Amino acid sequence: MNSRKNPSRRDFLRSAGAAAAGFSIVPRHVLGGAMFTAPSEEITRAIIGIGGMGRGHLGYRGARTVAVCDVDQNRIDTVLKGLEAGVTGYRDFREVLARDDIDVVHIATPPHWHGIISAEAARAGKDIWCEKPMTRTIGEGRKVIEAVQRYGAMFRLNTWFRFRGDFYGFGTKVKPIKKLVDSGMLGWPLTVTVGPATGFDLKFQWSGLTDLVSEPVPEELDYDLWLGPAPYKPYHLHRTHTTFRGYWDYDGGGLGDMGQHYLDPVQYLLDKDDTSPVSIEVDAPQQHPDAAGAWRRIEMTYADGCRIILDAVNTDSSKIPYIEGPEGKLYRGFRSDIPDIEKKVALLPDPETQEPDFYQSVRTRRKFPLNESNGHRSCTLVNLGKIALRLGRGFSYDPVLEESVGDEAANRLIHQPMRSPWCI
Amino acid sequence: MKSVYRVRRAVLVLLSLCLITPMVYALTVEELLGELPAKDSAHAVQLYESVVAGDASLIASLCDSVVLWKEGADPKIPMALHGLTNHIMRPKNGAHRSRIVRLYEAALGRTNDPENQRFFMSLLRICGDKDSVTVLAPYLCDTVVFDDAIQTLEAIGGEEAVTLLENTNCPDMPEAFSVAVKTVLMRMANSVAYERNTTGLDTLLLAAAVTPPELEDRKGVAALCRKALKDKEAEPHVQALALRALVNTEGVDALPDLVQAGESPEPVVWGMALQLSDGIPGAAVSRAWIGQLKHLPEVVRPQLIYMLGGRDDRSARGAVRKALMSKDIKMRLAACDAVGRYDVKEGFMGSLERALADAESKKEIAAVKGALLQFPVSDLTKVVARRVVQGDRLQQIAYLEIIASRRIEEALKSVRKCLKSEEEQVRCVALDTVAVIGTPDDMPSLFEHLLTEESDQAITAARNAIAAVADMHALRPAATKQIQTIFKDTDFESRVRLLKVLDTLGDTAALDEVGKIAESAIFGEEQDMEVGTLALETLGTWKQVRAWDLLLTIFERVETEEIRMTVLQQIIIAAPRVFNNVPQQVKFLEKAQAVCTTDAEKQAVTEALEASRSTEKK
Repeated sequence: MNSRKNPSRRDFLRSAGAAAAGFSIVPRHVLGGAMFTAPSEEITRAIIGIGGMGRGHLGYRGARTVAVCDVDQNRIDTVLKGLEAGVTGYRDFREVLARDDIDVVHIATPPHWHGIISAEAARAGKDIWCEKPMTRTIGEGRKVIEAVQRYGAMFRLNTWFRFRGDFYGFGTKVKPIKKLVDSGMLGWPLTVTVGPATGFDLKFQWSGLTDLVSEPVPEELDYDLWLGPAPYKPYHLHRTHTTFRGYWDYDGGGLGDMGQHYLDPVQYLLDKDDTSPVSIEVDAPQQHPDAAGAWRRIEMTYADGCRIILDAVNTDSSKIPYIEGPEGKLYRGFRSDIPDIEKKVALLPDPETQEPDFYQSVRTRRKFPLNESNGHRSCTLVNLGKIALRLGRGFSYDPVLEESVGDEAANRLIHQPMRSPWCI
Repeated sequence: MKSVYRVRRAVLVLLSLCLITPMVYALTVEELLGELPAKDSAHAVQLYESVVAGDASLIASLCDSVVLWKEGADPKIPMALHGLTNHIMRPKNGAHRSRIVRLYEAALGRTNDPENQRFFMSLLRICGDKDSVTVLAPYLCDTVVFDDAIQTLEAIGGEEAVTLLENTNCPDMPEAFSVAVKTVLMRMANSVAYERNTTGLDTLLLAAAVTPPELEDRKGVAALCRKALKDKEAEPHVQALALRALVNTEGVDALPDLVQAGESPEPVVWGMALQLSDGIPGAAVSRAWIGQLKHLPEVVRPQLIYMLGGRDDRSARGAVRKALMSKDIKMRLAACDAVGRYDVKEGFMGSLERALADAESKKEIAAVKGALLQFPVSDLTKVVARRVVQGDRLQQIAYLEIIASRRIEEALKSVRKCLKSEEEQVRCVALDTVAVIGTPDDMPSLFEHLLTEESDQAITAARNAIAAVADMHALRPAATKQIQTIFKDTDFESRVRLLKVLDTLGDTAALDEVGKIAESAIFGEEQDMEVGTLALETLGTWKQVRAWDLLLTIFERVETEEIRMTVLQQIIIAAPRVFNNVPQQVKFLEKAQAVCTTDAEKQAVTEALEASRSTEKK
């Protein structure tokens, strides 16, 4: 990709003063009244991957969509019909990144593409709004951080429970839980359990099929580009679109799909945004090499003794606390064995306010609360779980080196090769 | 003696080995596949120990049975081989690795099916060793699986793999081969970031952008960075990279360049300058930026204030405090966010108080309020109690919300004053606050508000406050009795409000009171069907079986046809609310049907029964 010489909109603005003699910028109020956003202030975006998740991004307010991209031509055609004029469809994301007039790219492809497109977008001078999980492997996540930070890009991960919204089936927002944990009332270290008993569906319906038979590739699909960096395997409908979630090459079952939604708030609650567990244990039936399947329990332990347990077996919310410490427990619905818990928590100071609007981050250049660094760490929780499942055993992990010391098989899953010509 | 001891020890070791070593025996292919998937890790160990302990022919047989992506293929075969691969790669379990890897390589050599070749290469990506490199060499020039072979070499890594890739020449291969090799070699050397040079920058500079740098010519690199920063042709994100490389190279000596970059019209550049400065500790950094504040573009100044947040030197704290009083709202908003970055917020309370007093918009009030809520309650108490009775409507509301959010009971006296405010919105929020911190002494005032407020919002707030305070202080019976007393001698509108309070209280005593009101209105000396209908409707929304029973009892007693229909309507409406499964709904509706006297009543219940049953069928 050569340096682009075509002037950007911002180049235009810089030189506008010098060229003022024969030109004037039309004032906002002349163009369209109080609600009008001048083009120079408007943020433009492209959505890469316009399946179910990507179409949801079209509705996010605060930016104007100027491009959509998908490897399935039918999807492009369908989506463009519903959009106003001025939106261009592409099959190859590289053409999107080559456009000067796009500020932000939204990445809603399957996860095996998230790392490459994020890094390339940063190198192209774009800000990035990326679906979860942030990357399919831990190694890719490191590369995304490098690219984003090197080029000063703004990055946000598309999960939000650490700063807004009711926290799934748990029945409360995360803020009062954060206050409770920070107060020390539960003691330390803490164990957090995520699973049906505490309000979280582990979505085993996202399991792959082990009896896929090769099928002809549909005409509208660029399968080679769909696969991208993933190993070549013959096409089958179940590998693509929604059900790709069931395959290790593209995602990782329900854990890959929902894990970061559930685990990122836990990482925030435990104040572990800059580290990772040191040991991972698993209780699961042997997994198929291609298709992700169900499992029973994954347990991750930090150096200070804090634990995260993904428990697919127990369902009794009266027996399994969401958070347990040496001094107290918190159950689903914010019930606790500590008397007057709600009143006590109300007395505590709020945590720092977090800006929930990514487009504000784009304007102010302040790191978004869920960015490439802490997003990588919570994605690492998901990826560590996936590695343990694929190995069929536990292993230890060095959160500073971001490798498993002395475990070659684990390391070969942390850093995985990519199909040519893709690299990150 | 020594030799006796040695013999004895050897016997003991042998015995213990026999006891702890699991009994292994050779499995057949069928037996192995019949056990899959292994139930758990321990089961997998046992199974695959048996496999490695057995004859190589089992493994060879499995390898030769691999069929992929075709009808009738057995998915357990690749699962078995994958499980075996994982087993030999367990830490400290490498005794069998070499032997199994050779078997996979042999299987690779025996198959011509590209999918099978890919599969064995995928196993070698997990367990292949340096001896696998030469086995993979012939596949590098295979037009179909060359890329899989290259990926496998990458996974194996090491000098042998790199050497092979560097030296392999496949003249008849498509261009994709050379691209694949080049890409993998870059990845293996971890040099992708700066060797794929799309920036136009010098490679030394690009290397410096990687942290931690290991540079010899720091001066030279710094000069390159500064040159790039002055290059007007360079893209903003490329300049940002040059700035990062400069800081990596010169550290705090790059401070003047950072501050100058703050004047850039490009958000990415000034954003990077602020970000990098944020990571450099020391008062000198704060002072350097504060000194340039006036010269920075307007859009950058608030972001500088935010960056100063959390910096513990006097200059930074002073700048944030000053910004809280700035004429520019963006500066004030940024200052509120900056306060949030401090763990110890001492010294900011007074400024925030003034900021809230002078706030010009809801957004600004919300920002200051957000900052205040991060203070310990001991710091807040005096301030909120004093301030809540001052200021305009929005400011009072903000302080009331703080009091409610933090349950500052010490401010209750001041909150009561707000109940008398002429501003309705203030009274509403004050009522919401009393709902959280109120005492039994507040009940008379709350009832007064319930009966005298005009807007729905205020009436609702009063009602909720009554229920909340009653709940907090075990005053439900007293509240119900109070309603009973007031109800007799008041107007219809007030009765509506009081009935809704009973509904909100929601306990059995309140329910019974509603029942009494209904009966009195319907069967009393002075029949009042307005009140009666209201009471019946309240019973109809009550999600307790007792409410439904009360309705049925009334239905059984009422003689007037019109009133009977009114009661029956509530019975029918209540059924799906009270009974959450269809059989129960049907049971109770049939009870009602049994006391129907007219065709119209029976028809109404019949239709309700049909509707319930059809719900079940769906």
